[in-house]
Amino acid sequence: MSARLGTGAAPGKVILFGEHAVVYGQPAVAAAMSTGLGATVEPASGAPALRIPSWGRGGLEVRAGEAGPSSIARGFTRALEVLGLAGEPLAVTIEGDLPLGVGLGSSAAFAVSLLRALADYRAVPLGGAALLAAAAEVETVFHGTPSGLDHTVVTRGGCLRFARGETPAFRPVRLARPLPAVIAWSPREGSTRDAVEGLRARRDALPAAYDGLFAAMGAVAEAGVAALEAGDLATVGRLFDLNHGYLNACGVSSLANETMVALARRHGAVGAKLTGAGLGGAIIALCPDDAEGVATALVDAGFRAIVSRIG
Amino acid sequence: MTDSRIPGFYKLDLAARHAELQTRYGLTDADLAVLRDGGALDWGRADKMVENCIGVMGLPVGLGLNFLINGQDVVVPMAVEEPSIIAAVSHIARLVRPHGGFQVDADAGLMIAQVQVVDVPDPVKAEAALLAARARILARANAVHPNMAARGGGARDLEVRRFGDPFPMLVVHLLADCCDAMGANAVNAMAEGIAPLVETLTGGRVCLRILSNLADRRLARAACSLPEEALAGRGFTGAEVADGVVQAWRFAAVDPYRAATHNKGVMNGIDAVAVATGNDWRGVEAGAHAWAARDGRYTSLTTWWRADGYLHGSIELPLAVGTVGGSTGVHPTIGVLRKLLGVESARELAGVMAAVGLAQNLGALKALATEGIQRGHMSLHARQVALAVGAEGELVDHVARILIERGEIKAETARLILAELDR
Repeated sequence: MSARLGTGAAPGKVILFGEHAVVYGQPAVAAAMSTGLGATVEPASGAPALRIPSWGRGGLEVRAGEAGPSSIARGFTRALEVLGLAGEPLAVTIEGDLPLGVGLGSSAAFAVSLLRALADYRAVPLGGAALLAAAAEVETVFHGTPSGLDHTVVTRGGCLRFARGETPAFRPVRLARPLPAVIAWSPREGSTRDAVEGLRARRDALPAAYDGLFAAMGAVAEAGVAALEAGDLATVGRLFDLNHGYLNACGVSSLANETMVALARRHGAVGAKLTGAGLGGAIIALCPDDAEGVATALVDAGFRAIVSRIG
Repeated sequence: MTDSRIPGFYKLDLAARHAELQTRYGLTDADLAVLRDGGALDWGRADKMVENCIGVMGLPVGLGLNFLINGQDVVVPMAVEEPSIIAAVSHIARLVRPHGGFQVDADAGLMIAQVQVVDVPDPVKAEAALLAARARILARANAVHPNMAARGGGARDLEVRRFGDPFPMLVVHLLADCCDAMGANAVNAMAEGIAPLVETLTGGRVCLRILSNLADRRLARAACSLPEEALAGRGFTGAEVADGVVQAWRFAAVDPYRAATHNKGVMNGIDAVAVATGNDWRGVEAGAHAWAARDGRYTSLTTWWRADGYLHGSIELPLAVGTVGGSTGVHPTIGVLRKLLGVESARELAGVMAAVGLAQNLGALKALATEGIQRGHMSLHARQVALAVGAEGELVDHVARILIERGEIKAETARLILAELDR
């Protein structure tokens, strides 16, 4: 008979509309991907160990309580503490095709899949608000103060509209059907902080010029919610293109982002935009017809790409 | 839950039956319109479901009544074209009802995904490598379908089976809890997701990656007991009927030729519920018959025995059915029928289906052992003859009864009886 195991998983996330504009009070729309990270916990000997074979060069391996700057090790230690498993002789394996640090919610998926697997291993229920709070706590080691967007989408799944300052801040968007998409990415050329602070400086120098862009992105997001709920993929695609243009105007796109978006459109995507903070990182292309073909074209051009259903 | 006994339901006309559904089970006018509308699956939707679509075909839907399952009243929607099935199952449910009804339970929704690996250089070493990487393979499977894990399910365990000559291969079984879904899409995606890792670990080549319909980790069970005297009737003592049932069961237990027919009767009920609830009845059939042959010889899905003046019966079979996902949300009639049935979880649904299978089996065995299936069909035939000569309303039953009593089910006799009654 097999030994006791704990299993858990969490999806990745993409921002469909409103990144950056959300910082200026506009609504944003984000959704869970059909793929993500899976975690398995098994009994072992020695201090708790964590392996992530598909991250880093040839895989990451850390032990809880390990000294050093590794945010993965610190996140692991926090998760064990939250579940009362600090020092337990166990081994965790995390797997999945979600890349680290390109804006696809990998740190939230790491936190949530890990917490779910540890809770399953301990046979304690962990869901709803308790899981959200625990995920926020673990994610803090990655981002300082996370907005809550990533771990909320990753924990709740589906598609959510988010507006800072509204109550409730999150409102579910009921997709008529999941979006057939290709997600592609290249290494980041600047951090999220670089992208946000750079835009802040440009906006503060010319507030009247930039605030109009943010308002326009807010309008795109609201129209996007309606198109998503109606299942009108053609309009969603057109709004992706529009949103991408505004993000380019804001100066958060890069040559890699522009190349990926252009390639996706040329190979049949009905719309494409960068997703997340930009300056490299990920793009999303809406591909109702030949998602495999679009993904192949992007991979052939030297980018990483996966086919995923969104929402 | 509302009473599942509706005395005289069979005597009501369709409109009166719908009125009962409205008052007893809260069906709305819109729900009833869906039921009246010949299936309510429109062309447009049908065209999206299958290729070369040319139309929609209706099936009658009836209610299995009188069911008491784990102490709860359940009315069971059944979609099937064969007469007598729904009457028989309701009759048995009514006999069993005063004696505790049916006790059922069902396993969690554990499905098996198979990954076939050929050209493995060292199968023993490959098996060890796969088992050593169990955590990694499960994590990868769950990463492919995180929604399942978020609902409390997901990939749970791994098994490796080794086949030797004449066709050496390794088969990896991924066991995944699909919760309230049938889970075909999820486990197929998981099997595809782990395939590259399986190739790396074994040095072999992956061929098929697909679920198994022999869902033997997802079994449902039902049992019932009733005092033998409850079976008495039509000139037979309860002990005689109970003995007849057990003899009939023994026949199926030892002889595959009989077991095939015996199990067909079990599936009469189970399939009708599978169709009415939008489940894949071919998958259910495949699983049931493969399970019935699990010891190398095909045998009965049920067991019947006598003890302490009671007739006891039980059934156990794989029931990979869901209450979410798949086609369960596509067909409007299925939505209405699910509302009537009132079960939320896949495990509850599997339990109901096991009870229906057991009841259907007892109905068939009881009929075979006593008056005989022929006699049962005779009464239907008599009704048809009565209708053909113009009997209406209550006269249909009356004329049919007299035809059977006289042992002459002929139109000429029916006409004479009708004429006598009219006088």
